Amino acid sequence: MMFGGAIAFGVGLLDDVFGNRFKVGFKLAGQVLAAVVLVLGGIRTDFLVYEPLNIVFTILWVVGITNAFNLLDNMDGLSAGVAFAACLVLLLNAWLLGEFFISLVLVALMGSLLGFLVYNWHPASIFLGDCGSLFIGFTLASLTLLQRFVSHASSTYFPVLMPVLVLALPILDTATVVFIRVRERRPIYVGDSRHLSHRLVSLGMSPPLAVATIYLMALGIGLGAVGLAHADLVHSILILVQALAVVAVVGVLLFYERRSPGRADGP
Amino acid sequence: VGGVAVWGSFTVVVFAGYLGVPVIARLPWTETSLAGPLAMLQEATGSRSSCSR
Repeated sequence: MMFGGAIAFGVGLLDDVFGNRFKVGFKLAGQVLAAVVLVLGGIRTDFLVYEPLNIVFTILWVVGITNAFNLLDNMDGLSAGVAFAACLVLLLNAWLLGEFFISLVLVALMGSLLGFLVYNWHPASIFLGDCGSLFIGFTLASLTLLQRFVSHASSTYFPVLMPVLVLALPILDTATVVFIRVRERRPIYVGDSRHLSHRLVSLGMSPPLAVATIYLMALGIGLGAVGLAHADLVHSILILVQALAVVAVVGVLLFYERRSPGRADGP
Repeated sequence: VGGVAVWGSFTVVVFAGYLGVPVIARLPWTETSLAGPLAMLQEATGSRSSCSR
């Protein structure tokens, strides 16, 4: 994981240094290489029947989450703060299931993120850059693969959804901007101002308030998911419905257009 | 700079913990004054190999 993280960091650093001269294809190839290193190190999913499918799924998951945190890094404190919230939820789960090694790794990552957030909070004096966001995304994706989510008390397979819920915000934001860019026939790797954070600011929030709102949404979805490992079928469904409700709120905020004064209803 | 700081601090802490715990655990005075935390760290690094998803 550390070696793969170093590759992800190195690729991001090259992108930061060379900018547009560093081709998108090389960046993607570096991310895939980092994911392959992870697979070769034995870190992969094991819930699919066929092993090749597990390998393909692992690479897609790692590359997807790595890019999600890269795309999420569009406002002061956002990417690192959401990563911190995800770490907090993963730490709770790891501690409750007695996984102390992963707990300590998560605490180390949280310490790094917290120290960075002090200077990255609005108005930021330092920034993650691609090297930081790719490293954070890769490390979080790796930790979700390392961690156990099913306990002896689990009566359903719903706990395997926990990583998706913990990282729902970055996944949802990425999926939305990719959908918008494809619909508008634009390259998906060229940035724009259509992210959730930008939507909240366009609705009237200040950037710090928008970022704090996204932290709360990430925690709102993630914290409920901690209970999945110990929940029976009914409680699992309740937790998933709660998570879907928060996701629906995010969806409304993403696509809600503020009415212009001329169109406003009422007296 | 921020990305370098996050990656650097995380890597240093993880490697320092992984490599340092066995060394620190052998020091005589740590057995009395840091027995609890060291036991947890040793259990953590040892439990990694036996944990399953």
